[in-house]
Amino acid sequence: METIKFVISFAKGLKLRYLAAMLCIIGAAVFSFTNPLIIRFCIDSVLGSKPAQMPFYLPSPGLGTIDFFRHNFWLAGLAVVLISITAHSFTYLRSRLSAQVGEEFSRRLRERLLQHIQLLPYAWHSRIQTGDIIQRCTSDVDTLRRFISLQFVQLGRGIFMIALIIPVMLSLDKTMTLFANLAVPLVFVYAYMFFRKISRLFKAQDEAEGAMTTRLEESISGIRIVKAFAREEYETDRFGNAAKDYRDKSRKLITVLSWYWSSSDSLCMTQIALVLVVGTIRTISGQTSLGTTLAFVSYSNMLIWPIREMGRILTDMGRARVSANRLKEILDAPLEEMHGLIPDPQFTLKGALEFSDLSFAYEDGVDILKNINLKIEPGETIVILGATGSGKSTLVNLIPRLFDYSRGKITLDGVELSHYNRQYLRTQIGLVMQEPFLYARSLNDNIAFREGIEPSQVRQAAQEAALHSTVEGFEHGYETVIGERGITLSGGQRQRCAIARALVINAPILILDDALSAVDTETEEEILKNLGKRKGKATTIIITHRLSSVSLADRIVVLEHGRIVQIGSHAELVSVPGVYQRIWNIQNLLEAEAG
Amino acid sequence: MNQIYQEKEYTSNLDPKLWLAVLKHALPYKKQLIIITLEMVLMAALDSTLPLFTRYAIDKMITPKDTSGLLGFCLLYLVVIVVGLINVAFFIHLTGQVETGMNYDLRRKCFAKLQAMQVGYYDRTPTGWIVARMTSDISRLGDIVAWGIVDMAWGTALIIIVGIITLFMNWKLALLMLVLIPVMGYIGIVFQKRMLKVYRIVRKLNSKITHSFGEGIHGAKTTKTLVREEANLNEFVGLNNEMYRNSVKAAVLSALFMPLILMLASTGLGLILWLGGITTLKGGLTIGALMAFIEYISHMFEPISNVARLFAEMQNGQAAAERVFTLLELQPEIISSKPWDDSWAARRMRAEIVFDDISFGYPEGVRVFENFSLTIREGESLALVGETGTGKTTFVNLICRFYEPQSGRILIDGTDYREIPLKWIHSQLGYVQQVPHLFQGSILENIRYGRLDATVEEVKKAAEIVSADEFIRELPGAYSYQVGEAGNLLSTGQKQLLAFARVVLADPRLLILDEATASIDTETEGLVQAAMQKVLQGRTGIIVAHRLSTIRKVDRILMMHRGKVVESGSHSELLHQKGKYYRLYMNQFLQETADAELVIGSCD
Repeated sequence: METIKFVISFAKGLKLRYLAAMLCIIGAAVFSFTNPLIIRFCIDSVLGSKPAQMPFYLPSPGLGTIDFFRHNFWLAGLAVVLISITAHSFTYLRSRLSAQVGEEFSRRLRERLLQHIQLLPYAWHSRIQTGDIIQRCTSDVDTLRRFISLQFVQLGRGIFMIALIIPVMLSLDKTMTLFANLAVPLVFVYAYMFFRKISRLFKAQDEAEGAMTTRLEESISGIRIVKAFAREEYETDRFGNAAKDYRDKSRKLITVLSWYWSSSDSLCMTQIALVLVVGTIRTISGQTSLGTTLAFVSYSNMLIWPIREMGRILTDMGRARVSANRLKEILDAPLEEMHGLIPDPQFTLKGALEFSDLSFAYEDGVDILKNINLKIEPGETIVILGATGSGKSTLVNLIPRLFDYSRGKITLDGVELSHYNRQYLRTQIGLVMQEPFLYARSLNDNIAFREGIEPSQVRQAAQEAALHSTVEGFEHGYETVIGERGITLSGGQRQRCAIARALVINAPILILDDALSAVDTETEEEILKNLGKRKGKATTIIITHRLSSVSLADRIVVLEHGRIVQIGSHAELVSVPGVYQRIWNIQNLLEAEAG
Repeated sequence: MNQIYQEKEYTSNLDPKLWLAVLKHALPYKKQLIIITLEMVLMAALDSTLPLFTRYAIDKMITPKDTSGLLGFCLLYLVVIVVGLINVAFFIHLTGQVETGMNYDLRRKCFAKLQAMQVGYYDRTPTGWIVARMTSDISRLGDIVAWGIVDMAWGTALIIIVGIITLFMNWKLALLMLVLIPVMGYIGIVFQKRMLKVYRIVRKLNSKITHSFGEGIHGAKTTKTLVREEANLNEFVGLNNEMYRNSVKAAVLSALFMPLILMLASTGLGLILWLGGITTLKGGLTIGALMAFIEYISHMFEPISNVARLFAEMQNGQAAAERVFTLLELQPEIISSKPWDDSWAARRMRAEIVFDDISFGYPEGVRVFENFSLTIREGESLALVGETGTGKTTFVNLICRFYEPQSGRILIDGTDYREIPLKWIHSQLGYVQQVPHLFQGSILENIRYGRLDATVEEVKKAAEIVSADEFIRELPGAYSYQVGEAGNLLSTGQKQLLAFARVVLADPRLLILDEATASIDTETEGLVQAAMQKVLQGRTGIIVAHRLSTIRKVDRILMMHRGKVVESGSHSELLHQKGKYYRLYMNQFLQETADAELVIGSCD
């Protein structure tokens, strides 16, 4: 029920169209049932000599009319053509309408998904498996679309056809109706049971294909090892075995299917033959007419094949429900709340940050940050040193409110962070991550990611990030597209691009989270020099485990296991015993070793 | 560069030569294909008898009111159904055999070709491109060939047989019916082509949409911090709407196809009913024959729409065929003038390597080495140090003969390595990558990769030598533990220990070792260092070094800078020079001690 509600919630304004599609099914069915009646009339009354009989007490043409038809036989032909065209037009309309509904539905669903996913809290993103979510957004949406625009409609068609054809049949000949429907339930149940039974063969085939693809991918990504150990033949055998397994699983499936298709074909044909034989006997004994027999043959033909399809579709319906639930799960996840203060655009933040008694734990409950007390003045540059897992990144992730803290306080210009609107807060921070994400578009679009950033500013920021000369070397300069459809940047180039992106907005707060780890030493020096020129313009927090950045620092913070163990300027810290002093003393030892 | 690998647009007409070449790959299944063709002819014959049953029932039983032939009629009908049953089962089965068999053969052939290619080919070609050729493109070829023959044989035979039968029944009506066939066929093909074109656009848009979702998820943190949610959504809405427009276009076209063909068929039906009815009234045609005609024309659309779809699919599949052929026609660029023979198997390499005035640059890239010479003595351990992009990886690529120098020679034991079988070089060589590559499978299989005929005991011994045994035994299932795709269930350090065990088992004369830059947890780090020293013993070793403990222990260090050796000597010699090496070492040392201090501090 929940699932149906979920699906319907995307159907605003589409229901009428879908209803129209359903009506088209009825239209198509009614008209296609008419043709056999015309042929029956032609055979029995026009070509034969029986008085005309119409089903449902429809007015039967008199002898004079029949005679008129006999002399104008083209009318029958024309009627058949017109009725067919009408019936097929209905079919076309039905497919068109249901396809439109299905496509519009999936369009809305995709849009909602992307919107929702982007606004989900970062905690959600760090929890999920990317591939799984992408698959839901694509193939599960497609499963639902197919269900709406094809499968459900085909089911409806089968049901309407039975519902409409049985009264027509009954009005023509009750006994024949019985014989014409003998195999119908059988064909349906057979199809349903069969496809339920063999779903495991389909799965085995899919898995074998997956295994083969994995083998192939591994032999490509590991080509250096394959070559270095001269294992080409071995690999060929291994891939060959995987490919063979896939082949054999496919063959098994096809062979089983071949028996199904042939046997159910024969079942359907037997049904039609039965109608012909029974009809023949009854016609000879005068219980029915030749035209009626032929109409029944046509009806059987029209009915039995869609019924067979219904059985298959019904086994597929479970999948649509699973897909809908998987999508619902994403959309049911609560969004990041977006309330809070958005100051006047003219107002600029000073950038005074204060952490007081701050403790933080992720969902697992282990404290990553413990009792952090730190006051950072506007324009100050702080370098945070610490080992992996000491809580450096967690600390800076709290500033743009990627995670919400609950114990202790962080204030910006004296106002609690949680009082600011998240998005406003984020526009005030330039953040560079260690493994930056770049969008698959041009370099310019990546750096000028927000409206109102001029090309000259892009250039300026790129220069400061030591990226400009690299870009100049590209054929298309700043218009060079990066990522999947363009060139691949090295790790250092990506980091520099992300730095340019953070510098270009001149935000009051700048955070570099191990942002130079892949940059070579010469370039690093250049960037540090440029950052030094900017000193004082923004509150800057640099997380690093490289000592080279320390020269920029007004103060250095040493973090251990989520606690601040040392704070102070370089001069201060070198003179007191502690981790920092020990690190710097080693330099002297080195000088001695070199002699 | 990647643009080369984007799907090409093919609007050209059917290329019979190309399809003949594809058919050649179906030759091993000649027998099956002939049987399938015969079966489809039989099928067509059976199908075309059905209206004759109706005719017989009307003309021979109903009209004369004669039931004497009823039993025979039923029996004969039963025979047709039973023969049909067996025939359908058999042809589907056989066609499946041909389809999957052909796909399998093509995959094997292509894979063998791929395996012979040099590393340079893989560096230039995206993995996804190769995978797509090997999976969906090849599947398409098997599908088109096997089921295409089914459709062709059945369709052609049916049209011919029905044509003959109806010509005998009434040639005027038969001609009328046959005239309709090419018209339906033409419309069918035109339609299918347009449909496939739109579907191709839809597929492309679909992959763009998948990419957008990928960005939305992978880039979540960036999008949030840059506050680009709305901008991203707006771009996506544009793409999504385009997808909607094209999908609806495709759906409308395909919704129109069958009704249109059926409308055409109904025109034929109307004409037959009219003209046939008049003929019947005049006594020129029995009612049974008229009904048979009506049945024939009602089913004529089937073979035609099948053949139309086949032609359209063939045209669309041409691109796939061409791409598969590029794989089949691959020619390796690195080959030795001397082929491998069994005499090589017994030879041991001394592993004295000489770079003799070599120059090398990557295609469409900068020159890495210019007139570079170097001698590595037998049994020497050599460390390469320097910043990224100075040629260390290229050095390794050249020694392993993943690439060959464009000028100059590389000598192994005094012989130009172009004159030594590649297989021999690689059989004497061990290679450990920065992030070692493991294959999906068990730990045992992964270590055994070093020597395929090693016993379980030998594998365990190798693991013990490099101290990998301990962590392996703690894993569930120990040596049968499944390492996951690319070994991702293990840490980098653990992967490295396994790679060392692999090398110990291979017992190579020449060992090439690319040290991990990524930080390994301290516990494993010690094990890795110890294992490295062990595997270096008694063989020539070349190490791309990142760690001080490694650098200090080697015989000779080469300080590389822009494709040149700028400083060379032992650790203490180089330190005394106070040059580039000195600065690098100082930096590195400070860094490592700082890291260590911070970690130790954290452990208090």
